[in-house]
Amino acid sequence: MSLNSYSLRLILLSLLVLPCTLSVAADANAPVESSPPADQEKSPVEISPDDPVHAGKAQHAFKQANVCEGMEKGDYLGSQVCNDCHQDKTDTMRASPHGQDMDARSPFGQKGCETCHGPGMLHFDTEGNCIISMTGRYGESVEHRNDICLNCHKSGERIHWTSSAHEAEGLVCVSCHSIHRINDVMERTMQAQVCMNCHKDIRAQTLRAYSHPIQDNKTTCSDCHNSHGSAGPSSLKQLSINENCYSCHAEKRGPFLWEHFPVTEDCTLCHRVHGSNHQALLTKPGPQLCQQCHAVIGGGSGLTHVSNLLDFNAANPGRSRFTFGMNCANCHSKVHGSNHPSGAYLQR
Amino acid sequence: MKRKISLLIYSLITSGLASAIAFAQDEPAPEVDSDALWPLMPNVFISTPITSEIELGIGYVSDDAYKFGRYNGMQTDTAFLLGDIRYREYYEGGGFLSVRGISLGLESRYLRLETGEPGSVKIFIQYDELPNYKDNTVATPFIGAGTDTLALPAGFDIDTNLDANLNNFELKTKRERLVAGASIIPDSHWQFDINISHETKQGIDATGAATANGVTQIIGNTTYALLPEPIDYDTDIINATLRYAGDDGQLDLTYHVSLFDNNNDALSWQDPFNPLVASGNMSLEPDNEFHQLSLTGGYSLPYSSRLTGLLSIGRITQNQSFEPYTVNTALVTSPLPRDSLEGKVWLANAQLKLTSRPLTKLRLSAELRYNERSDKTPVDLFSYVVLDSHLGGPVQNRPYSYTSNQLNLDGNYRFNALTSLQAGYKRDDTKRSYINAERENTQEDTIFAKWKIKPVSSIDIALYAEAASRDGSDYDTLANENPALRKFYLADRERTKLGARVDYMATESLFLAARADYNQDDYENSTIGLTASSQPVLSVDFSYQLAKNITTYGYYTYEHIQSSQAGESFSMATASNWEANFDDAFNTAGLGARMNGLGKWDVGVDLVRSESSGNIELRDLAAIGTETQFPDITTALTSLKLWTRYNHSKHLAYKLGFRFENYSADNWAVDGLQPYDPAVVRNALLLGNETLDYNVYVITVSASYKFQ
Repeated sequence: MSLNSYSLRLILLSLLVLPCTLSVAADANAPVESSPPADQEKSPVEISPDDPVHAGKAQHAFKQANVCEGMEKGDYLGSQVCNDCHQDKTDTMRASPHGQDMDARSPFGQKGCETCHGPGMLHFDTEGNCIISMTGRYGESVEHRNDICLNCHKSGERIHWTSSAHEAEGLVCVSCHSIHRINDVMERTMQAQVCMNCHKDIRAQTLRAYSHPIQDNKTTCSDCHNSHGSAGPSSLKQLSINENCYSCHAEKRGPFLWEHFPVTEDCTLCHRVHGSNHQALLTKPGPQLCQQCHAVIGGGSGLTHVSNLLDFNAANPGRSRFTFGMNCANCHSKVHGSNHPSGAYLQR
Repeated sequence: MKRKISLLIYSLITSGLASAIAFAQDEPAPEVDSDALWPLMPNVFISTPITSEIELGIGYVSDDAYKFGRYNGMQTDTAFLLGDIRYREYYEGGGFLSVRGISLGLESRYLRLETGEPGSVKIFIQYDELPNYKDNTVATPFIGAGTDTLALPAGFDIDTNLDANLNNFELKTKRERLVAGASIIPDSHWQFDINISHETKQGIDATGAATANGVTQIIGNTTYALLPEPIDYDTDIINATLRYAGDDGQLDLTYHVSLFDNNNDALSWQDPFNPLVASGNMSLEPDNEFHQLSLTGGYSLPYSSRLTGLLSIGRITQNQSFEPYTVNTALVTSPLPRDSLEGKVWLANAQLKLTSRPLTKLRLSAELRYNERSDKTPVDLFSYVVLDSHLGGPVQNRPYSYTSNQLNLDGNYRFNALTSLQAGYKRDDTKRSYINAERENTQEDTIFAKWKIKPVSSIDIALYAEAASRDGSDYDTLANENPALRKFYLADRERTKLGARVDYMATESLFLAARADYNQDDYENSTIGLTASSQPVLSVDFSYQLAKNITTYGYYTYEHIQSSQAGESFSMATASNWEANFDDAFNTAGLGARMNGLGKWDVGVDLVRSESSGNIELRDLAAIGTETQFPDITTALTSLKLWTRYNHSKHLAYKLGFRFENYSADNWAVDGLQPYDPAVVRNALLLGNETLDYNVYVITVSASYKFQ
């Protein structure tokens, strides 16, 4: 199966033109009453039980009737009033950094629950409706909901949030974080489960025969990635792929007297980092992995290193040693670089 | 009593920080906004939240299963202790203590203690272990496995007494890491974070080692052995960050240090094929240091715009003393041009990104990135020795430098409630500079578009397409390589990516999702080397809520990694005389259910099946059909997890867990190979390892206590 570049460009063109065409039609016939706003996006992951994917009919009716208009400007009640109906929420909040009134930066160091959810009077008057909802029940936009969190969390690891891939995807903070639960994505044993709700290909890769210990919760996604965005590639915490790998595999950093250039440039040229069916997370078994870049004429016998590919069988014991064991690395063991004066060919 | 103990721990830990806390408290806390609408009532609560839990119990592993226990420490058939703790308490008047412990009875244990004053200071200490049990089916005749000197027993003769001298050993390593850190928050704008970690990694890995026994190095005369390589690393890392958080601007200044120390400089061994006359010596990974200073910032601008950027400079040094050219005293070698590498690499990174929403419906971003690696290691001629056997020729070292400039432009327009379109352009210019560089410059242009539609409120659809084209300057192959070879990471490449995603909320209880992605790379100007690759991925998911307290879910993912490469076996002819196609196919499926509140019971089940099949198909273009095919490489994993929790009271619960795993694999490169069998692999001493198939079950019984 292959696509030529013309087919692809046709598809790209279609993607560019079709939305414009459809949008014109949609503008004319948009079922305004029944269509939720685009920013009332469904959370892409399962979060807490109190976060239904669809807003309840009651909330929707309130919103449509504009009963909630001005809900962000009403009177404040104080968190103890919230506690009367939402003790489970206030309990978990008070067990978290958000619930510490001695910390002036904390919501409970300010207006308690209403620091994030807004003044509660209308919520009280409407018997449990009309409150700023992080799940967008009352039409709160993605930007609005994220801004509530970013008011306090714009610095540090969130500096790059507005330019991150997750922000561009329209994710809200509560897509991953469950503020009212003790066990959320910040808990190391929960993290992979949350990330893999969307990154399903990665979930499958971590179940392969060779993988980092992600399934054992010994490597977490955030050990390598900053899901809030970064200045590095693929939201990596470090500024390059190799720097990221060296943070655990510092012995590979070098520099070496004899460098292996693709290794020095990008570990993922040879390694499939989330999982592989080949040992050491390699993209291919040797010697074929090496033969992607090496077609070297060998020594004095006239035989070549590449000839073994056609000579794989037990009747060729002299050549099968390039395929068995560690294949090329049986001799060229210093594939990440050698620091030996006689290691020019990565054998020492 | 518990509270007194925890208070005592907290007091002990924080007493040493009294001055820091005092410093933090000297600064008066910002006044609470006394908005007239805010009733200014204290947040008084009668209840005390249950936030802590401790779990203790025992577990039993049914069988030795090295691969099963590779990272979790359950590799042998034995009983083990279960120990998990999550404790967090905030004290009246300030201060908190947090303890998190995971798998405390296993070698994969994790323990973290954290304490401090919210909003003022926080300190933590963390201990972490990570085993890596690779293989316990290996054997070697060498004495001294795990050390830097490997000797053969007296009278060793590989042809006559190898079996009598083989000793089993384990390929395993273990990391132990201790991290300590602190955050000091003098006011709401400033924060200083520091953490220091020390990690040891010790054990044995495997490495290849070749010797040539004084004869000219040609294919067929070289001998090699797989050796136990000693692993004894120390890595120290320090991160210190000064943070400023203003309303509009934020700034982080970070200093990062990573110091790597290998306690073994080299590994020496006797040649098992000629133990009396030949030996070898190889360098092990050299010590190195990495220092990096980074300034990261973000500034919010009008029109919902934000500017983020980074400036970073780093330096890697490596000055490990060189080993001699050879340990073969019969050879007369030239003096080394210098005693150590004197390696020095500078890294520079810069990034600037502007993101803006000039219109409610429009999001634009533009980004520039600059990455540079500048290797300042001196260049010399080294008159190397071939495999401690005979003199080679002088070879020049080739320090490797590159610079990369990237431009990313991205726009997203939301036409209406139903449709949005994202499109963008990327440009990557990379210049590689090293002696005899095959290709100095490569450029890649990428365009992409993503269309999101919501035809009805319960369906989200996203379609994605990307096209990229890479070319570059003239390609000059090295003197001893086939002139038609194009290394795939430098070669001209046409890249295609297509993707589609559908999320469907069929009912309030049933959620369905499907994704399909297709990636393709064409190396149309490569005759020798990698010529094409493709990677379709398909994934379907469902979750169904049978009742308020019963959730079920399932998924299936199919991935097929295909590639083709070509080669020329016997000459420098630029037309390939063989081709190979590689197919790695993966099937992964999972099914599970969670049932909570079935009376006093919670129950869960997870079933996973993951299969892979790796096929290599060879074609001899000169005599098609005469080649010998490689057998398939297969793996299959079945995993079943069952657990239940009986909630005896609000605080006390009993837990029972059962886990079964079956793993089987076939790998022709490993299976059935004796350590030494010259009829199959000539001049090679292997480790005799087998693929690590297993059947294992684990039973755990524990009690869990929740408390305030």
